[in-house]
Amino acid sequence: MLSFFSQLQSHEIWIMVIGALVCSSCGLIGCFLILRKLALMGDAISHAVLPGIVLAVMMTGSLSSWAVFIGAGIIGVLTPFLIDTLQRSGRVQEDASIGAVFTVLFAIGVIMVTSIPHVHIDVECVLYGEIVWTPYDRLIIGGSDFGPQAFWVTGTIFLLNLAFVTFFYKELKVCSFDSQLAAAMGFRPKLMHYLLMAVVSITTISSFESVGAIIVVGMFIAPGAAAYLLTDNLATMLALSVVGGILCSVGGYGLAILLGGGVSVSGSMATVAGILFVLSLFFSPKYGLVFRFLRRSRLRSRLQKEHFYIDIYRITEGENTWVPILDLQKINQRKKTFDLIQEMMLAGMLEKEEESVRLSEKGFLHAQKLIRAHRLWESYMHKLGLPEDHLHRSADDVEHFISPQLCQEMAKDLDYPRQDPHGKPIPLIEEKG
Amino acid sequence: MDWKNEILLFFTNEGMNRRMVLIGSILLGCASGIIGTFALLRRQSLLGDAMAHAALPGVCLMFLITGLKDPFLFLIGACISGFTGALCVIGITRYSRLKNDTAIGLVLSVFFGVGIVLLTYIQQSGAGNQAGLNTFLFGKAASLLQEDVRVMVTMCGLIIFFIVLFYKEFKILSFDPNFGASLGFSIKFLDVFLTSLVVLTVMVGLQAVGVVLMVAMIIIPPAAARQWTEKLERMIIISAFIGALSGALGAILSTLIIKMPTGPVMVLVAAFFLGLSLFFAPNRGLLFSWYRRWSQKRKTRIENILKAIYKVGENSQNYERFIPLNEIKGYFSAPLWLLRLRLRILHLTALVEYHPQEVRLTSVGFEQAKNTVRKHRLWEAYLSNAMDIPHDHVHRDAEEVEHIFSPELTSRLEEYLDSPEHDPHGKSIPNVNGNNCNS
Repeated sequence: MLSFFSQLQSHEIWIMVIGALVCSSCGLIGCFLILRKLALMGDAISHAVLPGIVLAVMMTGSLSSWAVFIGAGIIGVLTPFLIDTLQRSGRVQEDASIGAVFTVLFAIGVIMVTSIPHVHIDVECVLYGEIVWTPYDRLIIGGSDFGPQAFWVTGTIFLLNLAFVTFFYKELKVCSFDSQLAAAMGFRPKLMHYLLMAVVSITTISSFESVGAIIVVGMFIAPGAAAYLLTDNLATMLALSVVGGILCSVGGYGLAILLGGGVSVSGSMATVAGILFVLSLFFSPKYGLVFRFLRRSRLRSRLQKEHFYIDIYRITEGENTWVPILDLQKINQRKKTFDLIQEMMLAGMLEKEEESVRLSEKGFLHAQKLIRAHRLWESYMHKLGLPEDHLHRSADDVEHFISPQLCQEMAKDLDYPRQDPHGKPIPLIEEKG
Repeated sequence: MDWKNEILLFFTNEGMNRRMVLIGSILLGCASGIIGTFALLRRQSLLGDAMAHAALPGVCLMFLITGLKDPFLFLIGACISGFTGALCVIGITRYSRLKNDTAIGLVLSVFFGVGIVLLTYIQQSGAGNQAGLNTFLFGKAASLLQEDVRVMVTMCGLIIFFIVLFYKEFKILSFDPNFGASLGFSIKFLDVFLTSLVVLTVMVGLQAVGVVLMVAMIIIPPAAARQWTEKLERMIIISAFIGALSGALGAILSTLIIKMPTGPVMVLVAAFFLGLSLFFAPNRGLLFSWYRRWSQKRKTRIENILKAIYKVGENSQNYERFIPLNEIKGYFSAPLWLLRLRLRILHLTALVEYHPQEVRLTSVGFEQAKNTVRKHRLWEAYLSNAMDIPHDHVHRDAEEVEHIFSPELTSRLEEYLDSPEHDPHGKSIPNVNGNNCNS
C-alpha cells in the first residue's frame, strides 16, 4: 500500500484528485436523490442529455465548450419536467414515465449522432468516459500552465455543489423528508426540486469527459446508499458520502493498476463503489445484515434457553427437585436438550447428577422471575377480558420482555394475586436488600 | 433514391439481410410488448434497465472463460448475470432500508462498471477484436445474421409459448399475489419464472437494439396499450401489436428510406404511438378528457345564462316578457360583448329568443332553466333540512351541483324531502310539470 503511494507520479495524483472531486460532488447531491426516491433521475438525465450535447457540438463544433454545458443543462432540466408532466397526466405510472422519457431522448441523440455527417462524437466515450487522459488536457492561460483543465472544471462543480448543499441545507432537508411541511413553511418544494435537478444535470455533464455518464449514475447512488445504511443523521450521511467518493476514486485507480493498468479507471471506480456498498450492506453496525443476523440469532438462543428454564420449573412446580433428563427430552429434541444442558451448566444455572438435572439457586431465581412474569401477564390479560384459553399463547411470547418494574405494576394493579387464572401459583420473589 | 428498386431488392436474394432485420425487429417488438405488459403492471419496468446493464459482465466473463464469440454463449452469460442483477435489486430492496429505485440504479451502474472493467481487460489482453461485445451494447439491428434471427425466433417463440401457458398464473401474480397464494399457486416460483422471462426478452433484444433502447421497447408499447383498455388480454394484444408495428416500421424506415440506425428509429416509432395513444385513446385519452371538461364547462355556462334570465322573470312573475340586457348582465363577470355572443349562439340553438338589447326564454330554454333552478333549490333544501347546514352556507354548494345532478337523483332527492315547496331562502322550488309557469 505504502509503496503504491510512494511510486505515484504527478499525472496519477491528478487522476485521483479529479476522480475524487467528481465522485464526491456526485455523492453529495446523490444523498438527496436517494432520500427523495429520485435515484433514477440521475440515470435518466445522464442518458437524456445526449441530444443536448450533440446539438451544442453541431453548433460550435467542439465537445469542450460552454455551449455543451448550456445545451445539456437545458435538456437536463427539461427531462425531469417531461417526466413530471407525463406522470401527472395520470396516464403513465412513475417508473414507466422515467423509462419512456430518457430512452426516447437518448434515441433522438443516437440518431442525431449517426445521421449528421460532420458531427464526430464517440458515444462510447460519452457513456463511459476516460479519466486517464484528463491530466494531459492542460489549462493554459497566458503561456503559463495551471494544471489539468478537468481539475478546474470538476473543482468548480464540487464547490458549487458544496455551496448549494450548505446554503440550502435547511430547505433541502425539509423538502426531502416532508415536502408538505416544507410547502406549509413557505419553502417552495417545487422550486427546490428543479434547482436540485439543475445541479444534478450540471454535475452529470461536467463529469462526462472524466468518468463517463454511466459511472456518474453509480457515483450519484453508491456512496449515498452506503452512507444511508450507516447513519440516521443527514449531515453525517453527507460527510460519509464525500468520504466514500474519495475512497472510490483512490481505490478505483488502485484496482485499475492492479489489473494491469489497461482497464477502464472509471469502471474500476464504479466497481469499488459497489464493493463499498456491499461492505456497508453487510457490516453496518445498525442496519448491516451481519449484525442484524447476529442480533436475531442471539435473541433466538436467549428465548430458547428461557423456555428451557420454564420447562424445568413447570415439571417440578416450585420445588426445584431433580428432574430426569428423559422428561425434558419429551418436550425438546434430544440433541437440543443436551446442548442446552451443557450451555446452562457452563453458565452455572444448572446442576447435573447422573441422569437428572436441577436448577442452581441462581437458575431457580431466574426461572421464578420468568414464571412470575408469565402468570402475572395471564392474570392481567384475564382481567382485561381475554378468555381463559387465549391467555397462554400471548404470555408465552411476552414473558421474555417484561421488566421487573412492569411486573411490579401489574401485581399492584391486580392486588398482588397468589394464583393465575388457571389456578397455578404465582411465585413471589423476595427483593434483596 | 429509387424506392421501387429498394422494395424489389427486398424480395430478392440480396434482400435476405433486410428480410432478416425485418423479421427480427417484428418478433422482438412483439415479445417485448407482451413481457413489458407484465413488467409495467408489476411496476418493474425499470428493472429491465438494471437487467440490461447487468448483462455486460456476464458476456465478458463468458468470453474470458470460453474464448469463443458465439452469440448463443453470450446470451447464456448475459442471462445469468442479468438474472443475478435482478435478484440483487430484489434482495437489496427486501433486506435493507433502501428503496427500489436506489437498488435499481445501484445494480445498474455497478454491474455496468464491472462489465467495463472486464471489457477493457479483454481489450488490454489483446484477445482479437471485440466487435461482438460492442455490438452487444449498442445493437446491430441493421446487420442481423440469419443465425441471430434464428436464435431470436426460438427465444420469442419460447416466451410467447410460456406466456400463453401460464397466462392465468401470471395474471394473478400481477394483480393480487396474496390472493394467488391463498389459491395455492406458488407465488415465489411464478415470480422467479416471470422475472427470468423478462431477463430472456431483454437479452434477446440487446443484440438488436442495444441496452438503453431495449428498455424503451419494454416500457413504451405497454404504456401506450394501457391507454386503450382496462382488460389484460386486450392490453397484451395491443401492446404486442404496437411493439411489432414499431419493429416493422423501424426496420423499414431505417433500411429502405433513410440510412439510420434501426434501434433508435424503432424507439421513436414506438414513442410516436405512445403519443397518439395518450391523446387519442377513447376514455383515457387527453383529447377526450379535455373534451369532457370543456363540454361540462360549456353546459355550466349555458345553464347559468338561462338561470339568470329565469330569475329575472321570476322576480317580476312574468316569464314571457322580453328582458332588457342590462337587467341580466349583473349576473355575469364576463364582458358584455361576450355575453351578447353567447346569447346569439343560444338563439341559434333555440334556447332563447334574442333580439339586440333584449332576450327571453323559449319553451325549451325555459324547461332547462327551471330544471337547473329546481336542482339548485332542492339541494339547498336538502343541505339545510337534512344536513343541518346553516342557510347562508348552502348556496355555494348548490351552485356547483346544479350542473351535475342526474334527473333520477333529483327526483329521489325530492321524494326524500317530501316534495318541498320552498327552499331555505323562501324561494319557491319549481315543479317538473311546469305549474309555476304563469303562461
